[in-house]
Amino acid sequence: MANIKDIIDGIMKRVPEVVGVILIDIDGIPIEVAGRFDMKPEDLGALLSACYNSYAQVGTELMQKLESIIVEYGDLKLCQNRMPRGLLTIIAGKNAHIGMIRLEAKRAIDVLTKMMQDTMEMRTEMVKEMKFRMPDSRGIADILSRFEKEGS
Amino acid sequence: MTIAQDAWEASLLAAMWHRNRIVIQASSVDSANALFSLWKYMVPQYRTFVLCGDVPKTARYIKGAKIVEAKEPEAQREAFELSYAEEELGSPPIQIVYFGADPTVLRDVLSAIPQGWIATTTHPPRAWETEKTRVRDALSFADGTFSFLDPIPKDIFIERRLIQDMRDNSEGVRDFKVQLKQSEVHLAFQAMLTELESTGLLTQSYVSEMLNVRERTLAKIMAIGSRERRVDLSSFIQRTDPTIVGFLKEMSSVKELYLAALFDGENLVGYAKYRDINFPSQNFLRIVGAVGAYARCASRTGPLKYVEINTRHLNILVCVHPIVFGFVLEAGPNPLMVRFKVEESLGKLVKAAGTAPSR
Repeated sequence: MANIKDIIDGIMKRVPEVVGVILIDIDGIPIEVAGRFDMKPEDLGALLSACYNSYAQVGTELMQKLESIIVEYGDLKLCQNRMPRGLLTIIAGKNAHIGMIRLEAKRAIDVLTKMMQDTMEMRTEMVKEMKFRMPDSRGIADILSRFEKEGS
Repeated sequence: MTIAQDAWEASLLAAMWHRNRIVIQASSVDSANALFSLWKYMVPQYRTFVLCGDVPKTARYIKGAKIVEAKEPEAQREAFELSYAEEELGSPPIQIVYFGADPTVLRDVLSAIPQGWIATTTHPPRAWETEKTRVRDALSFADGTFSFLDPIPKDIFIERRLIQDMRDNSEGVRDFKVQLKQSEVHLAFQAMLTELESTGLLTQSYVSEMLNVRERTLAKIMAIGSRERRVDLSSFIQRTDPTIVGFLKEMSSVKELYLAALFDGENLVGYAKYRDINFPSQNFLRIVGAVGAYARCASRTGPLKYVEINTRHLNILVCVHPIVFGFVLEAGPNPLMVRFKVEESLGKLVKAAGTAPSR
């Protein structure tokens, strides 16, 4: 049976334009990361989670639950998808076909959702084992300003 | 009720709403006064009634009405001029009603007031018409004639809609609907004035969203406001660029579309609500801000171009061109198809306007 890493790696193999995939827990803790990122995984997880939550507020104003977000920058595309217990983010190059990424995300979420329902304890252990620090409870503005300071 | 009757009722409503000078003529003063009573619900109730002449009992009880008791034409004229001048100091607009006016009153007293008066009389126009009180339009029917001394406003779309809407309503409901609309327009103008005091300039789109009114109502607000407060706000309201108007009209063909908003920097320069939805357009800028924050933290993202937020029933699209185009759409089976339609129209707009519509 495939594990989470196989599923995440599989996306990168099937879609060459994908440069990174990150699966984070409902709290913003990274569960699995594939590809190379400029940031530490836990910081990236916190940032993606904070961004997602800020969009979710827009959805709340419409009395709608957020399903997914697609962001296109000049040089990359970002696809964030809500899962029952987490958030799957796929980052791809500018030439990636967004329909293909949507499809991969949908397939992966179906499998991951089932797996994550069964792995609550395992994930708690993994966080301890890998010594990930828990994201603190500060707001998005604080988190972003910290990243900006570190980047400058 | 016939279409012709709807049309003249709409004209009468427009004339009263726009403070046109009206002379109601009938075979007896009582008949003329009765005609005024019948149609008085068309006069906005926030106006202060200034009554003069043989004021009938029914009119004496109009809430807040002032009665000019003076009999001498000179004193009456002074009283009217004083009330009219008080408007400049911020008092509510007045509505003069002169019951049983003779030709002298019409020629020498009322003619001094440029707008906002209604007179009932038994005398035909030839007895009182002068250069200042020339009849421009008249509506005649069995009981009498309404003579309008100012041209009837050309754009009476809202009045027509109101009259059609209350065709089968009782007197009370008609009164309610007319007063509701007139009060809305009156209060909207006050809100615009207050807003302008702090900002100095507003865009038509911003006003349209802020007051939740469409283009025609906005035009009515400006027109009535300029008649009642004698302030022309047109130079303080930046009109929507015709290219953007064309674009927003074209977007109405996208049946899934609820709302579209265009921002030049932080200024809302285009706004259209196609279906009922409660979504402040500032949310589009919030989205761009949040997404931009990610770009500032992560390197090598390039400039932000497009954001799509999908919920179960609605999708939000934001295109940055660098003008920000925001759309709220019904979630359909193929969001890419909708995006394609939107981008096709956007392409035409950008091509037509150069790089940015308002730059």
